[in-house]
Amino acid sequence: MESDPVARQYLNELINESIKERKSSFPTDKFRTHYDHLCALKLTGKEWEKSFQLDYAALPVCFVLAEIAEEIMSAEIPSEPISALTFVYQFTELIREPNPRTFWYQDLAIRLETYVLLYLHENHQLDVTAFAESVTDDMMEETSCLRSMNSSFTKVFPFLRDDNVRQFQTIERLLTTPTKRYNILDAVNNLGEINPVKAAALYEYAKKHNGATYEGLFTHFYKSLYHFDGDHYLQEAMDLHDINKLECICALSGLNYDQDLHIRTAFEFMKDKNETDIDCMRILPTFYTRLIDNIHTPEDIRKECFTSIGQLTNTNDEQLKNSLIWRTSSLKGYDKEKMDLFPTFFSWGNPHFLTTYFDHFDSPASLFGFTREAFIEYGMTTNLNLFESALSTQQHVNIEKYNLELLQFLTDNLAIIRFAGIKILLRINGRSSSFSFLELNEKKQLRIIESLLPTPTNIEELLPLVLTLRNSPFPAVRSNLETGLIALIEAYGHHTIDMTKNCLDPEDPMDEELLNSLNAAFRKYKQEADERMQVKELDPIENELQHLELYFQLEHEKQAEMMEEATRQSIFAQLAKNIHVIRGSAFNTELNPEISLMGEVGASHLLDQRYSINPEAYEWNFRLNATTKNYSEEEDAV
Amino acid sequence: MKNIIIREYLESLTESEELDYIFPILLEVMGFKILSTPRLTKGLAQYGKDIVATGTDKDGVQKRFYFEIKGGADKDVTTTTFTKTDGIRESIIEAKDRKFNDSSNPGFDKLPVKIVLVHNGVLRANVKETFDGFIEREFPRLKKSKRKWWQSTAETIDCFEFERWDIYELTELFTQHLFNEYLLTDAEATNRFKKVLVLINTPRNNYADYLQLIDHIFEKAGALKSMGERKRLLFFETLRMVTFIVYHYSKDAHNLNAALKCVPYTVLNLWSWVLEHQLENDQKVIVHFDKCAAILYQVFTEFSNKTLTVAKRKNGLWAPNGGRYEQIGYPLRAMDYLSHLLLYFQFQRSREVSTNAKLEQQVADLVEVLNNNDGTTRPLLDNHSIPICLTLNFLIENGMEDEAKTYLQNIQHSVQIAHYTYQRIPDGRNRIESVIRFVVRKQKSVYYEDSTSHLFGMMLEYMALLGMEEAYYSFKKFLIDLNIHLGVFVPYDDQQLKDYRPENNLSHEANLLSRMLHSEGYQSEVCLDDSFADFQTKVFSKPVFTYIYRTQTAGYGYLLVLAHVYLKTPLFPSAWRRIKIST
Repeated sequence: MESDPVARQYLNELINESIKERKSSFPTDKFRTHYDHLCALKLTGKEWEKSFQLDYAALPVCFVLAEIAEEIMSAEIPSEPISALTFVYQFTELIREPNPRTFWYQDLAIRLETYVLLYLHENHQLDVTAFAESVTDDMMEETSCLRSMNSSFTKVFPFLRDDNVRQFQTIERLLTTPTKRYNILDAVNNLGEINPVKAAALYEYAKKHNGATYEGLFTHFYKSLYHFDGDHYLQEAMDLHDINKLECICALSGLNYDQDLHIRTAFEFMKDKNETDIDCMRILPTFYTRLIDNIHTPEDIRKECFTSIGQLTNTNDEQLKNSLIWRTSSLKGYDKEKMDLFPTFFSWGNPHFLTTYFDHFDSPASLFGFTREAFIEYGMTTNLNLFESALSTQQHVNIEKYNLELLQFLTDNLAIIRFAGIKILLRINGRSSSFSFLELNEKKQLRIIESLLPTPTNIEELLPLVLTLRNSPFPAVRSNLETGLIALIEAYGHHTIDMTKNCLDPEDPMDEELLNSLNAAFRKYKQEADERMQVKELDPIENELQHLELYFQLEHEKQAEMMEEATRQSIFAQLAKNIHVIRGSAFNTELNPEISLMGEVGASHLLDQRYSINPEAYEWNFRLNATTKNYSEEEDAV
Repeated sequence: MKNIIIREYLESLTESEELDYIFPILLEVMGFKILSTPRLTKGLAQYGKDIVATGTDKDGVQKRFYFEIKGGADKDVTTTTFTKTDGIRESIIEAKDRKFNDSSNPGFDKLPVKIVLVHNGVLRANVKETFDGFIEREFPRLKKSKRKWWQSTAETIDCFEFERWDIYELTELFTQHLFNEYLLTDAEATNRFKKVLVLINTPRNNYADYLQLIDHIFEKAGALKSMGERKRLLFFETLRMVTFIVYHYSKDAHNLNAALKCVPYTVLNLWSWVLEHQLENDQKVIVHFDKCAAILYQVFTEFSNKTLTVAKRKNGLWAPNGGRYEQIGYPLRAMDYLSHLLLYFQFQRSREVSTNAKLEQQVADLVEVLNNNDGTTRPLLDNHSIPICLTLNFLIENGMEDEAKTYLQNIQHSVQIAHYTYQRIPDGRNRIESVIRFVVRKQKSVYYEDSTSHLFGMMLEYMALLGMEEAYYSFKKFLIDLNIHLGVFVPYDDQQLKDYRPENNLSHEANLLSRMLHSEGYQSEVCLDDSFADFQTKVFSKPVFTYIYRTQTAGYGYLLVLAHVYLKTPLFPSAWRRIKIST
């Protein structure tokens, strides 16, 4: 930093800006010069199209951050470790004000802690390893500034001047401490990436001192040193098979291969070994899928990997099955290969894997194909929630293909598929779909009306879509649409007209005609309703109030219980304190005397009045509409 | 307190119907002989004589009384009501000028005349002087002697006396002569009557006060032996008056529902009383009973006239303001409506001359109501068998077997759909609260009974009678799958009641007319045969409950139906096993 005052100045400005604005990223345009300079020095972190972050893992960044901390705290970093960590804790607490629970700065705190430990190690001869050993779990629990000690030690480990003997002792000790095992493996990984020479020496030392017996240790050494000397460490990993075959397979599965030769070698090695030990087999899905995902993998090997995955499905082991499903579903693309494996996975009887299985397909065709089969097989009982995530993903990444598939569903020959189409259309996360029904032929347009209008489950969403058909060139379509809308007056009263009106063009004479027709139908409906209300003998509020009140009281109870249940399951509610306000529209607390008005959060949907006339028949007709109105191929062709 | 209630009641009466109606009752009780009533002179120029009667005045002298009744908008004597055309002044002058001749009453013309202005309001101060002057002028007092004019018959023969009975006078007279006798003899009755009047048209009213008031009147009446002629008259008239009040209060509130709930209770109790005292052949008693029954008929007639047009529309019995409750309210109301409609048809037949046109209209109305209201096909309770049975019988008896079959099939269809969609079967214990809880919360109360059904037993027997083989098999399968036991309710006859329910001292008929039968009969199992023909044969050969109802003999068969409908006792198998199918 001494040698590059510009970088120091830029870092200073950016970090101060960050603290002032309480933001961890910076607009690239505004800080273009800063960005260019710091990026060249590899001091920037994550980047987006219009913004970037600083890389606090880089020591120069932390150096400047520490200077700013001293300036803000008006104190130097103490030389005693706990005081120094307290200094960091207080500093980070200060820069979070006035919202101390908003941790806006990402990894700034942990990186500063790491830097401070390293600073004490270098400048004040702190034995960081000994200090870390002295911090017990209880101390971490009780002392705020020590809570992230494990993580800080992981990050400072690669920079320590401890010799191999001391470092291996530290590794051995921490690998046998369950709460710290993963931290030290991370530290080994960091060491290989930051200081491969030292890591290689430490590996050689470990190899001579029985290091191969520690689960995960050599896997992390190979993984981090592979980029340093790929040939050597691939061979080392394969040689490990004679000593610890499970660790060998883990290591070969974890390597980030960068040569097709290495990939072929590893694949052939694995093929030769033909592992039958179940613990080893459980690792193989990772091995094969990582190879499939690797851009350097030759196509023939990739195919063989899928074949090998298929062979693994013959082994009846739950853990292996779960691994196969999870690893395969994580593969991006390979729709055909994944669909080939799908029947086997499905036959294992746990449909919940469907929730994520289609997430990474390139095209929604497979998903819709399977959905179709499911609805034909299971009818209206098909649980669409299982497909929710996959449908959302596909709608997000493949909107055009998704809409095309959905449109085919909505106009399908089979009623149940049209029903499935409506369900997909009305998914909570699926309402942004937009269609061009007008491109369909007359038959299909009529079918859209028939599918969506008679028993609409969510009229607010459906009506705007269906109303596009008022501009249909086919008179029968326009006529059916008008008839269908008039029938909805009984279901939604004047809302039908209001909703329709919102979608019409007041300047268009045909729209005006449609509106007039609806208004006339509504007037007739209203007149009859008014006449009906005049007959007090048939009025439930006059004559059946006790039953009516009981009904709504029970309904209210039911809703309250459902709300209670929802609150119990809400993560937000678990974090927050739950106070029931039993009277009043606002509340205050002793700590905060300000009166807080209670907000109203809610959403409402129009309910089809015809349901309350005869819910059983409505439900039944709905089912019939969804299951029995099928067309033949011939009809479709006309 | 009592006077205030009576005054409020009297003040609320309007001339054209109510005051005209009850005032003669008061006069009868006071011992007047009524020669002409507003009912008789309706539509004719009354010439100031709404009621003509003879009676003994306060002075002990027999007189002719011309009562001129003013109520409603004319109840107060004001400048307007006094001076307007056909107003008070004109009426009084006409009463005086135009003679009332009655040759059937010898000596009538010789009696002194007293014109009484009856009005259920007050004399306003601003017209008092004018009014008094008018009376003074038209009815001058004799000045010959200090004696009152009526003390010499010869002198007064062509003279007229005048009196004005205002609300206070009427209150006093009604209290003293009518209400006092039975109705409001104690604080409990007074309070009850007040509550009846105040609450009659309030929502949530279960009419318990009215029912208790009627019970109270019967209790106070005591034994028949201790009743003199006058007391018996008062007893009947009191019941008629109370019934009449309820009817008119309902009508004024534009909701006859209260009358539909209350009036049958009076009629059924009164008929039970008649039977209990073996008075069904006493013509005087029957005349009185008919007056009460006429009010009930009036209620049914007006109810049907008012509601039928709406009920015949598509889902006309559904109420839009009931919201989601209507999934219960609509079928409940539709079933009740069917009962009332069919009861009205029965009533109509017994009270009016039957014509083919009338009958055809009834059938057409019923079919239209059925076709437009699917609530009539959705039984929620087992005793919805009552309207269903009445409907089927009415259709069959009128040669509409096909419609009867369709209706039965629709019910079967609805029952099955209700089960397929929401697993609901009509509640055998007839508790609507249980049904509401089940529908709303999907919680089946321990009181919810859906493993035994009398309704389904009845439906299957109808299927046998109507030759509905296909429906029988499909319904049978449905019921067997659900393991529902079938039965029908058969009442004990009088001997069986003595044997099995010795604590019950009433006859079957008295029980039927006074309560919902439950322990007064037994459940007779209905077993389903594999073959429809076997089942049919069995149904045709099953014994039926035979009982000679005195009510039927007396020509009041519709009262038995009223008892079933009102007290919710399911109809007995004889109602359908005896029915004749024309095809």
